[in-house]
Amino acid sequence: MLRPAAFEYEAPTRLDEALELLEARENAVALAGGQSLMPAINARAVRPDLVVDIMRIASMHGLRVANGRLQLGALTVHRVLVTDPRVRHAAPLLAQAASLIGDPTVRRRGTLGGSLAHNGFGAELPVACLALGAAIDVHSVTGDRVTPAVRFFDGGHTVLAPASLVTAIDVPVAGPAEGSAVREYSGQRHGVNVVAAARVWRTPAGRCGDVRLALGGAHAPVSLDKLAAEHLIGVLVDDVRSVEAAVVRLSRAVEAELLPFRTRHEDLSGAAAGRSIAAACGDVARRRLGKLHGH
Amino acid sequence: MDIELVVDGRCQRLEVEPRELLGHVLRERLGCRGVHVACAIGVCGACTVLVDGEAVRSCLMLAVQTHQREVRTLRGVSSGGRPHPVEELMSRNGGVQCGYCTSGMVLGALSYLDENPAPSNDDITEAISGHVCRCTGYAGIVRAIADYAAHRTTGAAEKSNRGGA
Repeated sequence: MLRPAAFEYEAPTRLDEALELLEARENAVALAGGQSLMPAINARAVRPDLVVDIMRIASMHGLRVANGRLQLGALTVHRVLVTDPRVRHAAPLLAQAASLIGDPTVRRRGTLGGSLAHNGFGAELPVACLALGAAIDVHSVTGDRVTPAVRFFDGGHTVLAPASLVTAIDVPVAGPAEGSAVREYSGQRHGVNVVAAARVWRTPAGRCGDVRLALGGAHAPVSLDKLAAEHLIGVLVDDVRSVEAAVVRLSRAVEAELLPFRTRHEDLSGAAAGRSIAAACGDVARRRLGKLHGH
Repeated sequence: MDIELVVDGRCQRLEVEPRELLGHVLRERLGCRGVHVACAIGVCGACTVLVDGEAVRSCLMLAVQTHQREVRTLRGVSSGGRPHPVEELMSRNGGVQCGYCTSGMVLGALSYLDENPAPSNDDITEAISGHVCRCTGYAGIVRAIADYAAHRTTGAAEKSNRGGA
């Protein structure tokens, strides 16, 4: 039977209150949706002296589209990422990634900021944020700074300093020539899922003009943009066979690249990377056809 | 800490430690024996209850977080001492054997149907994907929920999941 060790509890309604509470106590933790932190507290893997419940901080909720960016409060729950039309339209990759998290009940409580701060193995949102080039806003009592996703995630950890909070996330709005996809595979022998997120841009001539690829699961979230670019740039994205040939080469390259991270267990990272790219290329075509038919 | 919450339609006032999980308080201090805290890490679904009408994992919530909120267990979505219609359908469709997962399963499904009242079988499978059943093989559970959803949509259901008709 798992039960937490004793702790104190505070539920501030303002960000500055929360930051002061976290700063003042050495062994304090911030509790958002609890879907990652509570399992650790229940199992006593984490034994805080103070739990600061941040869910009542209004300034960390809400989302809006402004100046070509989608800005999301860190306490946006996964369910909102999946269902809100603004997210589905502006950052479909985020909606797709969130739809793979847990189950509907977990998605009602788990938060975007919490998922990024926790950066658990197999987490989908860190991978999506890497592929999106998200800007992550972090506050502490000394001020705030914006960190790009590629610097925020550090192996299996984050650069989030103690007593600081992810407060907002900022991603670019997807343009009409961009396609995206997330692919996730589970059932590997070590039980951890592999998740890949890809974005592909189509030039007017029908070739891949740019690409983003991020991967996570069996290892920490990693950006594979350069590797993807080597294999995808110039490929005719509307031609299934060209895409497939490039994807097969990319999958093998991904496996070779991640070889140092692999254990003896089978790893589907190459497959996940390849399938997400192929699906993103398909998404580009679908969007283009949608536009042609006036959708 | 002193908390006040409504559980299955009754106001409860009690003093809890911050570390007490909602699931344990419901089961051990308020006698809600239908709440099963099993894995305590949020993956099995057996502890699922409704807080302000939405399904949550009661093992991942602190009791103090339900101050001034409304909690419903399976007992709270039926009325007059009779089982909820979906429970009867589960029983009839082979969706209940030992019954351990049933409470959480039903509440999770009802909450899902609030958001998606006309689910496909794939949707229902997704809806129960966070609920482990070791007995039935799930097919009877899916059938029961599909049956309930169909009748609910056509207005033939007697009760909503908010408790009481």
